[in-house]
Amino acid sequence: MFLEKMLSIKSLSRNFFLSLSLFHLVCSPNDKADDKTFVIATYDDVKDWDPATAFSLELLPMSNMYETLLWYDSKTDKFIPGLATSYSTSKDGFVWTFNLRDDVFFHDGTEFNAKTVKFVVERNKTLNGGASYIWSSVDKITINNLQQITFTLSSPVSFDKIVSSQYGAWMYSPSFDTVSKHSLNNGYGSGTGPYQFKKWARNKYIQLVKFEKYWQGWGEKNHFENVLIKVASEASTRYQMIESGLADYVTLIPNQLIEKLENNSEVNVSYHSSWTNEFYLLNTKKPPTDNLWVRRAIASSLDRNTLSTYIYENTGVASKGLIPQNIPLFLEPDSLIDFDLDAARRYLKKSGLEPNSINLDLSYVSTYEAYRLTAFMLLDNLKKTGVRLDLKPGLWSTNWDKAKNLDTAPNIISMAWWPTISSPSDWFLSLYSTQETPLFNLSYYSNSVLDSLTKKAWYLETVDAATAKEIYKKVQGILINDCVVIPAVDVKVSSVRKKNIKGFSSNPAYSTIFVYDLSKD
Amino acid sequence: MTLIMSIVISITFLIVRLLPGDPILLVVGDRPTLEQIEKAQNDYGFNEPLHKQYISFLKRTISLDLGVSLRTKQPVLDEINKRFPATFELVFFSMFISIIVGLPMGVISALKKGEKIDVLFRGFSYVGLSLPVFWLAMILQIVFFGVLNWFPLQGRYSRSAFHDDPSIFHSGFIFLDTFFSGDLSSFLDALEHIVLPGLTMAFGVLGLLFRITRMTTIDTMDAPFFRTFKFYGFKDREIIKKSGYKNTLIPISTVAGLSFGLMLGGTFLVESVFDWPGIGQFSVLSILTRDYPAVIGVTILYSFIYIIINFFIDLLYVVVDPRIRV
Repeated sequence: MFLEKMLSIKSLSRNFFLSLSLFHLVCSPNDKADDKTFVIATYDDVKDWDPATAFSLELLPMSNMYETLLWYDSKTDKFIPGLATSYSTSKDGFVWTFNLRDDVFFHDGTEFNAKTVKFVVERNKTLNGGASYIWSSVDKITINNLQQITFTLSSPVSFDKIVSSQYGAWMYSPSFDTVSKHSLNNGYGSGTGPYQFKKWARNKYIQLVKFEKYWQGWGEKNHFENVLIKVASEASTRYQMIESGLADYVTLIPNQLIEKLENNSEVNVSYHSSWTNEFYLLNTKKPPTDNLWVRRAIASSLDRNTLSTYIYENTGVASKGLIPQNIPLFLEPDSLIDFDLDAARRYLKKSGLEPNSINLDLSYVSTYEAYRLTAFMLLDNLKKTGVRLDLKPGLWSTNWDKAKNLDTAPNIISMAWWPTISSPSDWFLSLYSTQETPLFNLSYYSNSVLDSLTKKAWYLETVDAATAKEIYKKVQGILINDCVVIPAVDVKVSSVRKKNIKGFSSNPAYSTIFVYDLSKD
Repeated sequence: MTLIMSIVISITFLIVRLLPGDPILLVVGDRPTLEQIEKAQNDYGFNEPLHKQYISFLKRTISLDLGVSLRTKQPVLDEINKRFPATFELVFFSMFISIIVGLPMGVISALKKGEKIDVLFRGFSYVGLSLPVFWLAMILQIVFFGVLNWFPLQGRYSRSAFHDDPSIFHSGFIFLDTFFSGDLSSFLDALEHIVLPGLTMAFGVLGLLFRITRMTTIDTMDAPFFRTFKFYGFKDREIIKKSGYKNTLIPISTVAGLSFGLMLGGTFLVESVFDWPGIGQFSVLSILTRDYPAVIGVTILYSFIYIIINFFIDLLYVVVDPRIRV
């Protein structure tokens, strides 16, 4: 009888909820964010704790632990003193001298000076990993005194942009020379930044604490004393973290969920321009896209405005050129190939090929919804012109590997690009300059005029920015004319944070959050 | 066992290495230079012919050196050691819930065949079997964290619980560590964190165990010995309790054992939603990114577990069925 009573429907449900309630009483859920801790929920963990080679999500903790000699302010298009108080360059742009800040210490107590700058640059060059290639133009380093250092370059590049790069330009303690691999594998850091490394619970969280001897001091502003970067791989989990107050800032929330957060009075959602753009490279060596008119027909079939309005919504604007429109030295090209299916049909006629004999393939990153929708839009539009498009979704690593071999390369490949150095040359040198073995020039484009123009513009950026700007416009014109690429959108990044967080500002040169600038109401 | 493991390892190595895509890209990152790619290929031996790579891989594997994960840059053995306890605890907890709920439900359902409670339990088991795990996980999060705020949203423990005391959390098995160190609050904290992912995983297996228990109990109740007992005036419940349950043990233990193995390898979605730092998430991400040392590492682990589980199931047969002993 007792068993039957226990297992009656009513009793079962009552017992279940009673057990849960009792359990709830003995347990106290959750470690909510306290006022002194800034909690960030992000989608993946750090893979590399060496600031010389880290080149991915490491930016989030490292930009709060390390500093660069200069910072670039995109709003004013000026360089702000970082660990260097001032700098000068020779007229020809080959020699750069930096005056370094005094009384700056690394988290391990070592003093920052010209010797450490030399150590960092030489070590980065030796390790040759991540973004260390930014230092490749450094020919000679001269320590004038402990507070002044001179770099002699092999080519007259914009060195201020290099030393302010968001990757590979962090100044770190000489202790990295002696730190064991084991320590690095288990989390380590020693920079001059406002926060120092405390703990890394792999795939769970990173904890940073305030560095008492930080050179800017802790003053009267209500700075956060701790930074906690939590790994929450699912977007729905990050969504709930910000909604419930478990996190102050969350990254990568999908559009559908962002719309819900926009209605939440406790959450602030804003969209900011970035220096990332998305585009489609057309293979200029592989039939039938080796035919200029076929490429133009494809370009005329992509409806950029529909793309930005309905697919990207708040997270992208139609591209106006081949590089993001807000990057320094951008000038809008005279024209882009616009969406026009009649024009596409005309181009196909000029190609000399029968539309129904044209079979194209497009490889795109399958994990990104916007690429998938764009691919289907292009497929549909090309179908209207009689051209067949095969869609080949895949992971970027697989797509890229296939695209590097002409035999397996697709006719069209989706790409996104963001610069390591705040210069248009980052796009043109990496994506369109002649490469014997293709790395990122996946359109297999080769044009000696374009190669020399790009280099010339890059060298002129410091000494004659106006001319450099005109050259970059000309370079875009050549690429548009040869229809090497179809520009799609300039990406806008969303910032989702608690409403009581003050001091937030966005700088597309650094895809991170500087917690030192923030405070809580 | 050695033969099975060798075959599994070799097949995995070949499949992973012959798939399109270059695993070295994981090492060099998104924006490598050609020099960086060449250097990494040299360092990892990827420019060697495949058969040479295979031989050196076998040599290393025999000495239990599983290499370094290309994705996380950590030794694969370390990753497995650190993550396996989390998955094991989660699966063990889910299995425990499934057994203590599913078995009695199955017996009651059989005893009350055709009655309301049987219909209800069967409906419940169908729901359990058919609900997508990731959906159920999110619903549980929304209800028990978002609305009721009874249980934590994610993770294996509160940061504060183990924050500065690694001495408590040393074996990787939180429940064991906290239990033996007498740290009740941390034990409860860990328990609180395992409830939602545990329930999510238990739901599907519970349905399976319920159905197999119900089916075998009904079969037993049709057996001649059962009818003889009934003829002597025993009630169904008494017969099951005294003798009938023994007939159900072999199929139930087989299904429970195999489900345990299956769950160990199928925790990816639950671990993803609840940020459970286990082996499931690590395995799937390794497969997706072609992190072949990690893929081979977890394949070895899963093969080993399956073999061990089957071995224990065989041993269990001997315990529960005296005829096999003869």
